[in-house]
Amino acid sequence: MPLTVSRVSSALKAVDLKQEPPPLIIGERLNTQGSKKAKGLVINDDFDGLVDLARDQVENGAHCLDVCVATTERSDEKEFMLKLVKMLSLEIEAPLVIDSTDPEVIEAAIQQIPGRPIINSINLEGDGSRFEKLAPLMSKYGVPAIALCIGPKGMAKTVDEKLDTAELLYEAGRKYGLRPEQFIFDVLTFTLATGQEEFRSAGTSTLEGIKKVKERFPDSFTTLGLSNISFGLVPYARKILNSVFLYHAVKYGLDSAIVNSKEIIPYGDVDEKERKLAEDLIFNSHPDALSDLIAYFEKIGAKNDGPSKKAEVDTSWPAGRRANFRIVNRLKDGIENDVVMAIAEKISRSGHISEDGRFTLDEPKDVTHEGAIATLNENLLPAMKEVGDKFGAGELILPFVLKSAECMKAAVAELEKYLLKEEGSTKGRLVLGTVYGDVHDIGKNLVKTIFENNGYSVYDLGKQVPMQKFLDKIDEVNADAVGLSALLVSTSKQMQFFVEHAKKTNMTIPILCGGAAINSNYINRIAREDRIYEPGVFYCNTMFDGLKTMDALVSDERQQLLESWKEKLEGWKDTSSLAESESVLPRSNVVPVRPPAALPVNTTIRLDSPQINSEEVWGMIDKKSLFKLSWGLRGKAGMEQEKEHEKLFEEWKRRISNENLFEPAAVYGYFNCHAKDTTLVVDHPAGGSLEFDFPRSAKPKHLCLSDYFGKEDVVAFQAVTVGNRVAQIIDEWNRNDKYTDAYYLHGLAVEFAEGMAAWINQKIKGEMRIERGGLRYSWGYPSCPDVMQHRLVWKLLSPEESGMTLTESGQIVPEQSTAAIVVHHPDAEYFVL
Amino acid sequence: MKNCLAQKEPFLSALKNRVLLFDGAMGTEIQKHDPGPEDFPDGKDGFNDGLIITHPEWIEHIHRSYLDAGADCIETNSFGSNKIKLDEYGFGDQTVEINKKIAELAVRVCSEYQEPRYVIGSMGPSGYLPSSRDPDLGQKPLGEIRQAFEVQAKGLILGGVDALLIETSQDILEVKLAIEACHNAIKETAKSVPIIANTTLDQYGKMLLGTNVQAAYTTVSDMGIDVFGLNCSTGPVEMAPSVRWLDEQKEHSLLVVPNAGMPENQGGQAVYKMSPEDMAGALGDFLQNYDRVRIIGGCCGTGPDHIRAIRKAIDKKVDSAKG
Repeated sequence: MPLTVSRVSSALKAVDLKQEPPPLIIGERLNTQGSKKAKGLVINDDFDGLVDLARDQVENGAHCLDVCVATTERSDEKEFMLKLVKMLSLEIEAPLVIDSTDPEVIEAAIQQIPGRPIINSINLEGDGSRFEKLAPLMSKYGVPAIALCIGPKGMAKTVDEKLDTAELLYEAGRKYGLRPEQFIFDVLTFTLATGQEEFRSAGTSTLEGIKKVKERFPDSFTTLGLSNISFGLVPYARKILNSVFLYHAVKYGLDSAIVNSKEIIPYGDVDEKERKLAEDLIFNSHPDALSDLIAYFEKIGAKNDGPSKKAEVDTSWPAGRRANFRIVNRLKDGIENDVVMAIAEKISRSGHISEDGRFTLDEPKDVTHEGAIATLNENLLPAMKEVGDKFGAGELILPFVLKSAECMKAAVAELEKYLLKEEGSTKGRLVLGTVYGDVHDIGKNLVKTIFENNGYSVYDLGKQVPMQKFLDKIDEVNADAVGLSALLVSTSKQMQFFVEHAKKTNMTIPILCGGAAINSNYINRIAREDRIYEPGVFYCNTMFDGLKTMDALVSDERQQLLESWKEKLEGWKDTSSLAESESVLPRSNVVPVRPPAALPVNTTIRLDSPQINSEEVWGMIDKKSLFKLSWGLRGKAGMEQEKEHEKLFEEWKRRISNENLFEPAAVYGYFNCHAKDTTLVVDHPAGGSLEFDFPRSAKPKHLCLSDYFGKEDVVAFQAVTVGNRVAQIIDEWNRNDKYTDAYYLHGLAVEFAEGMAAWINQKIKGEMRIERGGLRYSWGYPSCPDVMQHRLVWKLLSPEESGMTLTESGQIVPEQSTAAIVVHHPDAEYFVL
Repeated sequence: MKNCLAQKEPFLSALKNRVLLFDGAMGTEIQKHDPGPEDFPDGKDGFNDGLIITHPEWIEHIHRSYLDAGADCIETNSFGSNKIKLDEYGFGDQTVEINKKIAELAVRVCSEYQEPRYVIGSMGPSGYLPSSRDPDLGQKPLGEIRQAFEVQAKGLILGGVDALLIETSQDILEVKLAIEACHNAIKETAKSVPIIANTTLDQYGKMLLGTNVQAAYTTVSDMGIDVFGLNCSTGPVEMAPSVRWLDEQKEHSLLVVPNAGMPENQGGQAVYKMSPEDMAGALGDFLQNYDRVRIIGGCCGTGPDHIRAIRKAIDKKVDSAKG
C-alpha cells in the first residue's frame, strides 16, 4: 500500500515534496537577505514587483518560493510579510517557504496563508529556544520545516556531526509529535573557496551527509542552500561549481535545493574541462584543485567578461540542424530564420532577408507545405524528443525543458506560416486537453498543430482539465474523438478514470491517449479491464500516430480499424505487470563471489567491422532459431525443406559478405558496482551512479539479478549491431517488391546480431578468465524486463557512437541490435518471475 | 426512554464499525412550515437558526422526520450561528447560549431513540472570504473570524454534540481558522469532540477561489481533524473524481454529502431534481468503490425520502457483506 504522500500547498494547488525527477526547486530570489533586487522592491513597497519576481521564478521552474522580507531599513517585517503572502497566495501557484528569524512572523504568516507552507528554518542553536517556539507550530498546522544541522555546539561540519545533529533535531521533535516527513534536513554546505584545511573535505562531507541522513531517515527530506558551496568565487565559476555540485548532490539523495534556477547549467552542458575542475574541488581530488580552478576561471574572466558559452550554433550547418540544435540547447534567438531556411533548403527554393533581418520565403503554401512538414519531422520533433529523453534521464531539470519548449513553440509558430491549411468543412472534431493535475501541454499543443493543419477542428481545453469539462465539451460539439495527454506517471491515471467512466456510462466516443509516461501496455490494460471499451482506446506514440488513427476513425475504415484493434487487444498479453508483492519476497540464498581480477574497469572497448571476426560469428548463429523463428520454417513442411534452407543459408552468407550488407559493430565495458536489495548500483566513470532495479522472482528460489553482486563488485555490459545499412536495404527491397529477399535478410540480420552478442560475450568471459558464469541477460526477458534500462546502458557505453540509438520507449535502433548485462557469478542462471 | 446508564458508542468508533447516515436539508424542510416574518425572533425574516427561540417544535419535528427515515446522525440547526452571522440579526452576544440550546434540542430528540443516534454541530461559513483581497469580504481580521467560530463551537460542545462539523466552506483559509477555533473551544471546555472539516467544490473540483481538492486537503489534513468531507454545490456524480482522489490518500475517513444533483435554474429558483433512488444509487456506488467513505447524507434538495432511500442502500450493502 502506498504511503501517504508528503505535500505542501498554496491556495491553488498541492506540490509533492518528492519530485520525480528530483530535485524540488525552491526559488531563492524573493529574499531580501540574498537578492538586492528583492530588497529594493521591499524597501520601495513595490508589491507588484515582488509578485512579478515570484511569477518569473515559477515560470522558470521553481516548485516552491522562499519568502524573506526582513530588512534593517524597515521595522514592519510582520505586516509586510502578511500583506505579501496574501497577495502571492491569490496569484502564484507555488507553495511558499516562510523565511524569517522571528518566530512571530512565521506564525502570523502560517495563519495568513490559505495553504500548507514550509518553515525556513528550525535548528538547535544555543539554548534551542527557536526550536521550542516553532515546533508547536509544526505540530498544530502539520507544516514541514527546513531543519538546519546546527546543534548546541554550532554548525555540523563532519559527516558524523551532520548525522548526529539531524538525530538530535528529530529527537527534539518527538516531544511535539512531529513526524519524520516534517523534517527537510539541510546538512549544511560550506564554501570550498577558502582553501582552509578544515573545509577541504566540505564538499564530500555534505554529499556523504546527505546520504547518511537519507539512510537514517528515509521518510524525511533533504535540502541545500546550494550557492554557499561557491561563496567567494567569481560569478561564472560559482555558476559552474553550483551546477556540478547540485548534480552530484541529487545523485547522493538530495530531494530539494534552494536555488535560482536560471543560474543552473545542466550537467551535460558544462564544459568537460570546467566540470573536471569543479569535481576535483568538490571531491578534493588533489591539493591544487582550488588554485587550478581559480587560475582557470580568472584567465577566462580576463579574456572575456561574460561566461563562456559552450553551446554555439555553427553557421556552416544545414539550417534544419541549426534549428534542432537551438531547441535542444535553448537558444531561441534566430530560430525563426533557421526554420524558414530549413524549409527553403528542403524544397530547394531561395528566400530573402527583409530589412528587419527576417528571412522569408515568398512561395505559395502548396509549394512550401512539404518542406515545412519535413522540417517538423526531421528537425524539430527529434529535438523535443531528445529534450524529453534527457529530462527522463535526469540530465535536465524542468526549467530547461520549459525553455526548450518555448523555442519549439516559436519554431512551430513560424513553421505554421508555411503549412497548408485546408479550407472548407472540417474533417472531424477532436476535443483535446492535458488531463487533470498535469500542467504539461507541449505534446498536446503539437497534436493540436498537426490536427488543425490536417483539416480537423480541435477544441483545446488547455491543461489540468477535469473530466467533467471534457464530458461537457464532447457533448457540446458532438466530437468525433477525444484526445487525452499526460506527461507524468501520476497523472496518466486520469486516463484510466476517463475510460472507466466512459465504460460505465456507455459512451460512444473513441479515446486517443498520448504522453511520455504511458505506453501501449498501459493503454491496453485500461482499455480491456473489466470489459473492452468498444468505441476504442488508442495509444498514440506520436502526434502522427494520432493523426493516422483519427483519419481512419472519420473514414470508411473505421469499422475495420476498430475490429482489428479489438482483435489485437483480446489477444494481447500483459507483460508489464510485475508481482506487486515483490518487495516482500525474501532474498535468494545466492552468495556473491569475488569479482574477476585485473579487468580494465571504466573503459569502453569499441569494435568496428574489421575487428569483428565474421567467420566466428557465422559459426555461432543458432540455425535452429534462424530456420524456425526467423524464417518461419515450422511443422511438417518445414522438416521437408530443411535441406533447402541449409543451402539458402550458405548462399545468403556468401551474398552478405560479398555485398558487405552487414556493418557489424560492438561495444562493451566493465564497471564498478554494488548491490542494494533489488537494485544494482553501477558507478559511472565520470562520477555519480546509475541504478538498475530488477524484479525478484516469486518462484521458490526468489532470484533477482542483483543478488549475484556483492558490496564491491564488477559488472560488464555489451551492445552489438549489424549496422544501419541492412535496415535501409530491407526497406528498399520492400519498396521494390522484393519481399522474399527482404524477409530472409531480415531474419538473418536478427540472428547474426544474436551471434555477435554470443561472440562478444565469449570475449568478455575470456577477459574475465572464468570457466563458469558470465551469463548475459538481455532486456525484455522476465529476469530483466525493463527495456527503459537501455538508457542507463547507453550512458555507460555510448553505443550511439557505434550506430545504435534508442527510441523513446527504450527500443534499440536499428532493430537488428541487442544489448545485455553480463553477470560473472558462476551460479548465475536464467529464471522467470 | 433510553437507559441513561448505558454508554453510547462514541462517534469515532461507530464510524469505524459502520457507515453512518446523515440527515438531509434543513432549510427546505423549514419552508414546508410556511414561515412568515412573525415566526422569527424580532420579526427577522429568514433567521432560520432563531427558530430555536420561536418555533423549537418545528425543528424538533424535522429532526424526528429524519431520524424516523433512518438517519444515524442529525445536524443541529446552527448553520448560521457563528458570532458574525448572529450579529447580523442582533443576537451575537448570545452566541454561546443559542448554540447550546440548539444542540440540546437535538440531543433530546436523539435520546428518544433506542439505537444510538448522533448529534452533529453544524458550523456554516462566516460569509467573509479571508484569503481574498475583496474590499469588503477580504478585510475582516482573521482573529475575529476565528473568535466567531470559537464561541459557536463552545456553545455546541456545551449543548452536548457528538462532533463538530465545519461545512459548506468556500475559503480554505476560513476552514483553517474554524479548525483552530474548534481546538480552542475543545481546550476551553475540556471536552474532546471529533472535528469534521468539509469543503465545497464546484463541478470542476475547485473551491470558490480556485483551490483544488488536493490543495484543500493538503492544507488542513494535518491540523488535527478526524474526518474530511465534501458537501453541497454539486450532485454526487460531479464529486466522483474528488472522492476518488481523497480515497486514494488512505488517510482520513471521508464524508460525502452532495446535493440532489446539480441545481437547475427555474424562474430564478434553484431546483434539485435527483430522485431519492438515483441519489441512493450514486452514494451506494461510493460506498462500494471507496473504503474511506464512512459518512454519507444529503445536502440541498434532499428530504426524508432521500434519506430513507439511502438508508436502504446502506442496509443492502451491510446485508450483502454479511451474506
